[in-house]
Amino acid sequence: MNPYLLRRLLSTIPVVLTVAVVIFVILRLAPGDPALAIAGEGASPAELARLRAQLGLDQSIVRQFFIWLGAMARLDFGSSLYYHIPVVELIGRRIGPTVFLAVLTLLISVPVAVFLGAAAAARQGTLVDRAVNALAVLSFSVPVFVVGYLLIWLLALKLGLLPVQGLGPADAPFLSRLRYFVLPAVGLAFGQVALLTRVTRAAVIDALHEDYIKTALAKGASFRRVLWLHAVRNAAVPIVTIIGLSFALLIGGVVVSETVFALPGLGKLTVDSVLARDFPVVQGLVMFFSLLYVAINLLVDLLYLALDPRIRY
Amino acid sequence: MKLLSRMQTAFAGLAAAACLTAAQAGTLRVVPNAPLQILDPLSTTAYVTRDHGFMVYDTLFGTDMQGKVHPQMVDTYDVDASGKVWTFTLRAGLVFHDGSPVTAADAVASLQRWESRDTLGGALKARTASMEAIDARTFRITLSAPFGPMLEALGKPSAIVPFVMPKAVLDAAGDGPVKQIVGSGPFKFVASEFRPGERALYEKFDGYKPRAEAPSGTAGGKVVKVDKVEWVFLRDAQTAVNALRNKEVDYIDQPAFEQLPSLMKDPALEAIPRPIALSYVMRFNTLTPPFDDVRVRRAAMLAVNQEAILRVQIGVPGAFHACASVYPCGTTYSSTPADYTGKPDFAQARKLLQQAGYDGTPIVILDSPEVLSVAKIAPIMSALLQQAGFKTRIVPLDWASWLQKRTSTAPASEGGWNIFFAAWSPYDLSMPISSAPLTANGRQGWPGWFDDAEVRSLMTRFTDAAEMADKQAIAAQIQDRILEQGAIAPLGQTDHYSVVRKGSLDGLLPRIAATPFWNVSLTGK
Repeated sequence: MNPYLLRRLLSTIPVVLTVAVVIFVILRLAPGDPALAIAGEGASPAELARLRAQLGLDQSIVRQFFIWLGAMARLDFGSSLYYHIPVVELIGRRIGPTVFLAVLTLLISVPVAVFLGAAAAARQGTLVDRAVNALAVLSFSVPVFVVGYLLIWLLALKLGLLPVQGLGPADAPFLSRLRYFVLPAVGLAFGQVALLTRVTRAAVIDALHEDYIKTALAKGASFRRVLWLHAVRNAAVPIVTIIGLSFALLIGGVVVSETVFALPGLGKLTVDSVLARDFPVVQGLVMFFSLLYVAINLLVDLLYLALDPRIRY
Repeated sequence: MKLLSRMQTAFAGLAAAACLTAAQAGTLRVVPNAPLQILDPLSTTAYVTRDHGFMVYDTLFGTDMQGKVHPQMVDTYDVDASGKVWTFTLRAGLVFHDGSPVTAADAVASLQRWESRDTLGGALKARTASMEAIDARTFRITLSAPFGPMLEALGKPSAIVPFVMPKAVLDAAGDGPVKQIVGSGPFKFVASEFRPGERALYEKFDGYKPRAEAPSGTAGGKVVKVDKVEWVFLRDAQTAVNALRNKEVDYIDQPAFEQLPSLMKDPALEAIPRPIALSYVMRFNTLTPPFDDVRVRRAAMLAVNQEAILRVQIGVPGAFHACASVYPCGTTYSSTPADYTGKPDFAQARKLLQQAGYDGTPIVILDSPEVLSVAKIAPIMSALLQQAGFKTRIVPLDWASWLQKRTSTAPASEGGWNIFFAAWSPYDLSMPISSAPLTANGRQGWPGWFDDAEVRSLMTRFTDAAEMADKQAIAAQIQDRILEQGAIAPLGQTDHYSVVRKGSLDGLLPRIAATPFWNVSLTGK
């Protein structure tokens, strides 16, 4: 195995351990008793005690920590206190809609943002540049739920084109289910375009000042060809970095969109689990997100090799 | 708008195709009042789990809309002259969803489990000498002393309900929640389609034998007229309304009060009134100063202005009602209290505070802004208490933290609390011995830990009483004692509204607690 790759993989161990300890301590220090949340308003003290014993919450925190650590070593993330199903299975059930939404969002936002960013960079200081910048500021400033409700109002309620919530019947054909993702993906893409456009614009402006661009133009290449084949390609490293981070953010942070469009994904599961103090699920999700960040960062680093031959690890 | 109109026309055909999502024939799509997360109705008092229970399970007795108890799974019953030996015979031909017959042994196992989980069940358990199956359809409960509310207990319509489950499922569960959701109710739970917190699916149970009587409350014939009922959990209130307008769901159980004025104006929608959906109470921590002094509790009660509180919290004219009784007005035991009006008397409140020597230490009011049903009460009640001479401090918390904080018996200065507010389904407060806010057994009781031997003695007398007139008289005495001692302050009650598309459903019944989805049919609109 490549020594760099091995080093990066080994470096994930202390990261994961630190995350594990921190999340366990934070959850246990936060106020809130899962047994109370499960049993409800009218539960008797005896019923609560029974439930706490059943959930293992009557053990000392130190004992709970070592039990959990031992289970983690066996890759056992435990079961949800509410749903009584393994955390891994719960994450598996919810990851599909979130990943699909994240991919669709990037498929919409990346081409638009790269085109707008490159166009603004090519016409730096002109009306086009200012218009793109204004659009980026606008899309960055409008909250995703406002965009979401406006899209619902127009495309679902007024035009009746798209459904407003959920995933549709499980046995529906792919294209039919795709319709359920269009509104949330467009809503999320609206915000993503802002960030990606600005990064693309800055990276392409830098690239356009490089000597090889002048050389290419001096050799008679058209500006359009130089822009898209040379400048944009050489600006790819920061753009890919941002796309990678955006993907990770979308996986873990699409709570608002998942709520507005009632998509049962990981973001909504995270918030619900935190509010309900479903400790094993929160711990499992945080571990999953931290591993995802590590993996995506590693992938982005490896992509640099393909994008820029000068880079060596 | 012209452009919009043209686009609307142009897309009319596409719209029809889009609406196919809602067109599965015979499937009623419902947005319940909360996400269904826990399936065992004996594991939680969450109302959504109780409602799920009434879909899947049946009960020995049912309660009609007038509060009268009628046999449901039971065919005949008998009590001996001493009032201590009760014999029940189940209807013939009852079967569980797995095809096995419902037996007296199932009923006994279910009742024994319920007795150990429910307050009213616990009261029955304390007087149960034995409970045994006599034959396949008959079982007997022998008591050590008469238990007046026997039928009311067995026909209890709200959490925790004595649902009948298969003995084998209960045995497999042990002390934990049941792992298989198998009932003998009008709908079968489709476990493979359940997505916790997202979606639940129920199919009509063809083996269900409805009673011949007309349906009322949880009693009578539960005739299912749709193939399936799908519960879709939409946490965002606006999303739920959008889904209803877009024909993706057919029924919203409890839209937010803020939405009601606009929903009521929408000609395509119909808001269906659901009388007495919630009752509100203010609870004091009687263990610590200043509310360990009855005069201070009484002073706080004199700050209550039910009309103002309900107007702020509910806001919809006609949907809220002042009610001074500790039992929800309109239920069996409600009556006008001797010494509490729910109207403010600030001068008298200040006088009481002075007599009690209240030192001006701010009282801590627990608030949970995320719980919309009570979210606005803390600020308005805080203002009213200030008018009465109190100093106040509101502590806002998320729901899980709020629940835990409420269990703290420490003084407010050491992380405890003084006052909180709660909203209850009225039938949970309708009987003295099963109403948590009326418990008077100190630290064994509901947070606030009111302790009073006289109330406990009255509760015992209530349990002994067999005649309704006696029970009502004792219930009134309990009410007067509770209010005189300032255990709680009733804050009034509210109706809810369910919302449907106009003309889209037929046969929707009034509800006593859970919304019944039997008798409902779809019109296709």
